[in-house]
Amino acid sequence: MTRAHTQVNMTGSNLDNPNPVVFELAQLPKRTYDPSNLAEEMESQRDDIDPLEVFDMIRKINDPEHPLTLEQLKVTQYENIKVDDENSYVNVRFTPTIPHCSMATLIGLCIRVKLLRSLPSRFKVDIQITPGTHSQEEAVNKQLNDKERVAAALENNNLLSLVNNCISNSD
Amino acid sequence: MSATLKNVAVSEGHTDRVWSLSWSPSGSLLASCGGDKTIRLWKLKDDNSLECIHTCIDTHERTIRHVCWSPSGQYLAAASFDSTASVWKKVNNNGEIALEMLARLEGHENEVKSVSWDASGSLLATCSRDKSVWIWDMDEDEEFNCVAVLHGHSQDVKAVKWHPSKEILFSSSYDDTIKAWEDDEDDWYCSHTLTGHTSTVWDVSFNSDGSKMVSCSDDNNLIIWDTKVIGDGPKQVCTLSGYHTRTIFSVDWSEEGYIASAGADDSIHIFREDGPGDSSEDKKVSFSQTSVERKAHGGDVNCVTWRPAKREDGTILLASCGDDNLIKLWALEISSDVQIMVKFRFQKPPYMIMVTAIHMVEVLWLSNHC
Repeated sequence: MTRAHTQVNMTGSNLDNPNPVVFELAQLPKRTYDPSNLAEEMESQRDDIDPLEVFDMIRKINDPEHPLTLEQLKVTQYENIKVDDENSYVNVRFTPTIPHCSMATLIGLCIRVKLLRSLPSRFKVDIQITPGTHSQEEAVNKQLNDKERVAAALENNNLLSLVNNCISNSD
Repeated sequence: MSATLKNVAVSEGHTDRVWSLSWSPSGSLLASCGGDKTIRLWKLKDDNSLECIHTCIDTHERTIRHVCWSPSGQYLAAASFDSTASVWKKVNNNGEIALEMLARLEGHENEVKSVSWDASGSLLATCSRDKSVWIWDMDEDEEFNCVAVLHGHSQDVKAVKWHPSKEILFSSSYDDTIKAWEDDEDDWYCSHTLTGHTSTVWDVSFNSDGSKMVSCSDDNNLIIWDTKVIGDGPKQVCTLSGYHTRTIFSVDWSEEGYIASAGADDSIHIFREDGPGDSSEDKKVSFSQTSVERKAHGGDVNCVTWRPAKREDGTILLASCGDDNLIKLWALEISSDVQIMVKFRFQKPPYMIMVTAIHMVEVLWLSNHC
């Protein structure tokens, strides 16, 4: 198979998915603010986190291969974020653009690092591939949730700069 | 008997997550290491607090994952993500205790995850993400030679631990198995592969005589193994499920028979084997949880380790460390006279429930409609 324009990604190899589908951004639930509750909210000791807030943290992470956000590629979706604030727990599912995407681990790592830096430290975070959307689902999930391997990966300067590039525009 | 943990000291000093702790055999010193790439030496004071007396910096370029004292208490080994392990000698300079580096062990292809000394103190094992386990021999000149490179695990090897008296090495892995390694005239080989866990096995520990082993895993379970019949291989005798709600990173079995386990749910659990007549009538081995500390640390608990000797006043101490950069000391408070629940009897109307406790008067509760 020949490609008209062979694109090369940041890691120097050919793209896994040269022509990804770009989606219209989904409509998200609107936040309603009640001004009378404002004082109460500001006084609140606990920094309550909801799924919309978590989605805001990760929606603008860049895809490692394309100048597009994970939201534009429907890799991250609001519906795939579960938050249990009371128990300080966040679960994020992400959907690789193709089932053999070799970037799946890197994308998951970007989401993990972004949440590590943005969420209060009390949160436990699980990151998983949306079930049935990747051929190596189990292996990728296991690696992303092994904190020792994540810690080791983030001490690798090449990998860290790849991750930092992907998440640099997400704030 | 009930046994509960009481926090007796909190020690700050590390500037990143603390990964591992090791008591010197006499229990007078505690070594710690972590993501800040330092090894710290703490002296246990009489009031059960820890004083940092020495810090090793600039030796490892990356995280120091694990530390382990030799049985003599003269050497400390450290495993680092920089692919090397280091061996340190304890020195006493005019009363100041310090560590001096003796050797750097190179050979692993990537992160070294764990180190363990054998009972004689002459063999040191290391394991790595490169899936291999290495055995090093320390000669009389304190020089280290690699005597075996063991392949068998199909993934990242998380921990190595020698049997407390026999020359058998156990290793646990991301491949969900534990392997036992023995030598046959200096040829080391895998004698047994223990299956039972359904995810990464993070750590193993032995009871005092080595007849039983406990393992902990990412599957949130602890498994107790009978290691007496090594010919047939260790056998599972019991699984402790439903206690931890996230990955269990560390487990340690005390000389007094208490198992401490800790992990990503920030908690420390204490278990003990049931005595004869405690519960099971069919003589099956069973364990009960004696206490739990749910918010032991403000983050994952990475290591728990019992002080190898009781204090003079009989206090049993446990040390723990976590992602909150802290080291904590806990005293195990054992009391036989506060345990409720030996017998539970439902009386006939007017519906009394009787509870009998050891060393306590009988308690009678009246049901609400009589």
